[in-house]
Amino acid sequence: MTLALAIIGTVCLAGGVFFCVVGGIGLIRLPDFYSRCHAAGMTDSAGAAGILVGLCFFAEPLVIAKLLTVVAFIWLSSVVSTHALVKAAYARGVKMDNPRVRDWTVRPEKGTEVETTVPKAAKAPSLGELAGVVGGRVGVGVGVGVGVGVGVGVGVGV
Amino acid sequence: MSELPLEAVLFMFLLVVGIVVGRLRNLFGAAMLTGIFSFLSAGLFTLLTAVDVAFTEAAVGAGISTVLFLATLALTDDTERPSERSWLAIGVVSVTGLALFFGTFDMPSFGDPEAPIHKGVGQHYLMHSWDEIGLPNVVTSVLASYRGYDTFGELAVVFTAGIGVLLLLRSKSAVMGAKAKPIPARSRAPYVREMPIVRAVAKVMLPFIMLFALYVQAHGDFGPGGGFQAGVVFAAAFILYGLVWGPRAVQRIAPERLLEGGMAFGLLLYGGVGVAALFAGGTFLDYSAFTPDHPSHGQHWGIFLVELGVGITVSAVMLVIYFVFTARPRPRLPKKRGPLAPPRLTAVPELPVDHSKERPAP
Amino acid sequence: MTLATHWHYWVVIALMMTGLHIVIARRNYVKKLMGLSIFQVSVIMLYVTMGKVEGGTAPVYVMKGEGHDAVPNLEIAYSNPVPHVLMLTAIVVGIATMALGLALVVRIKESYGSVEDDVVIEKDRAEEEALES
Repeated sequence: MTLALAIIGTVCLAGGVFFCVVGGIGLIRLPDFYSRCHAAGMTDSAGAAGILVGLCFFAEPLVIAKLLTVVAFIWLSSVVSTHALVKAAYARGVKMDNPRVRDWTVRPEKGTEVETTVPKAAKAPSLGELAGVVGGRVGVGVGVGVGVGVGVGVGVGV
Repeated sequence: MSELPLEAVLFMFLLVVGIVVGRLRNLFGAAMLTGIFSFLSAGLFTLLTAVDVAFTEAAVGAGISTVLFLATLALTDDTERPSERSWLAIGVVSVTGLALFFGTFDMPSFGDPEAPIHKGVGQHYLMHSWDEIGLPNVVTSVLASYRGYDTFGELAVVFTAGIGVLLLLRSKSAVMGAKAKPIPARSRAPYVREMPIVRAVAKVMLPFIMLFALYVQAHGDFGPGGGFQAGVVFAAAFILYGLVWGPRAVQRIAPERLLEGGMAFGLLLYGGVGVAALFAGGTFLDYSAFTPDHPSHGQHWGIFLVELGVGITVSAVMLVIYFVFTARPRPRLPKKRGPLAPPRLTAVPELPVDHSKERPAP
Repeated sequence: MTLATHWHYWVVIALMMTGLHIVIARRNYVKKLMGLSIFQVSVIMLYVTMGKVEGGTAPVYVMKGEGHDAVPNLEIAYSNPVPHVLMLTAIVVGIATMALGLALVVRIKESYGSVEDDVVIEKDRAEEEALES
C-alpha cells in the first residue's frame, strides 16, 4: 500500500519537475515576451502544483491539508499575477515579436484586409537532422550532468 | 549529508543571480532578481533548519523589499548608465576576498557540534527554556524574553526608519492627509476599470491574507512565526488592496493618522510591558514578575503582549512607508502607450525641484 | 580543513564579494543599494550556516508525551537558536535601513535630477565653485 503511494507520489513529483524544467527552457528559448510569460506561468501552475501534490503522498493528513491549501493559493495568486503582467505589458505597448503568428498588438487600420492564415515555416527539418540535433543536445546535457555529479562526489569524498 | 546536492545547487543559483544583478543595466529586472535572491536564500535557510529566519527573509526580503525597490524605480530612472570596468574596485574586492578566505582556515567545520558557537548560552536556552518559559519555539522565547531588550531596540529602529521616511518623503499631495470622501468614479486608479480578473481574485484573497497574518502572530509560540512576520503579512494585504484599487481607497480604510498612531502604539506597548514589570517588582522586561508564583505564566503573557506590540508597529511602519512612496508626485509618465491604455485623466505633474533651499555661505 | 567541511564559508565569501563589488563599482545609487542588500543576505547566510548542528533539527521542541504532560525531547540535536534570533533582528533592521536609503535616493533624484554618482558629485562641485567665486 505505501509502496503504491510512494510510486504515485514519485510520478507526480517527476511530472512537476518536468514542467518546471520545460518552463525554464521556454523562458530562455522562446522568441518574444508573451510566449515567455506563458512558459513562466506554466512553471507556476503545473510545476509547483505537481511537486506539491506529489509531496502529499508522503505526508500525514494535516500536512496534506496544508499542502493543498498552498496549491490553491498558488493557483489563485501566481496565475493572476501572470495575467496582470501580460495585461500591463499590452497596455504599455510591448510588441509581439513572433514571426509565425499574426501580431495582435497592432490594431489594423480600417479597410485593410487582415490575413488570417498562419504563414508556413520555411522548411521542416528531416528526421535525420532532427535526430542529430536532439542527440547532440542530449549528449551535452548528460555530459554536463555527469561532470557536475562527479565533481560534487569528489568534493564530498575529499 | 543527503541535502548537499540541493544546497550546492541553490548556492550556485545564488551566486549566478548575484553576479547578474551587478551586470544588469535594466534596474527593473535587477529589482526582480534581488527578490529572487532573497527567495532563494529563504529556501536555503529552510534547508539549514533556520525556519524562523527563512520565514522572515521570504516575507521581508522577497516581499516588502521588492515593492520598495519598484516604488523607488517608479520615482527615479529605471535604467543604469553604463560604467566602465574599475580595476581598483576589482582589486579591493579580490584582496578582501582573499583575506577572508585565509581567515576561514581556522573556523570550525560545517555542522560541528563541538564548535565554540554552541558552547555558550545556546545550550542553556535549549536545555532550560521549557522550564523557565514553557514555549515550544525556542527562537520566540529567546527573541521575546531572553533577548527581549535587543528586540525592543530593533523595534525602535523600525519605528525610527518609519519616522525618517515620513520626514523625507511626506508630501502635501492630495492623497496623503485627505479627508475620507467618496471617490468619484473618474478618479479611481485608471486601470481598475479594465482589470476585472485581478480585482475579483484580490477581493477573494484579501481576507485570507489577513487571517493568515493573525495566525502567524498567534502561532509564533509553537512554530515559526511571531510579530515581525505577522506585521509584514498584514501590511501586504493592505498593499495588495492599494495596488489594485489605488492609494485613495486605502486611505479610506487605513487613514494616515491611524497608522502613525499605530507606529507609536506598538513601541509604547512593548516599553509599557517592560515598565509594568518594573512596577510588579521585577527588573525591566522581566515578565515573570507578573505572576511570581507561576513564572512561566507571566512569561506567556509578557511574550504575547510584546509580540502584539511588534506586530502592530511593523505593519504600521510598512504601510506608512508604502503610502509615502506611492503618494510622492511622479516625475514623468510612460511615453509609450499601447492600444488598451485609458485616456489620461490628469495633467502630467511637474518635477518638484527644491529651489528654496540655498546652501549657506561657507 | 577540506572542501567538504568549509565550502559553505567560501561560497558565502564569494557572495559577499559580489555584493561588495556592486556597492563599490556601480555608479547608480539604486544599484548600490541592491548590492548592499545582497551583501547583507550573504552575511546572514554566514551566521545561519555557523549555527547549524549536523543532524540537528529546527530549534522548535519535538514533544514527547500527550497533552498537558508533554515534555520536550531533549535527547535529539537542535540547531543553535541564538544565531537565528540575531539574524531575525538583522533582517528587520536591514529592511528598515533599506527603506530609509531608498527614500534618500528619491530625494536625491528630485534635488539633483539624477541618481548617478558622478553626476551628483559634479553638480555639488559646480555649486561649491559657483558659491566661492
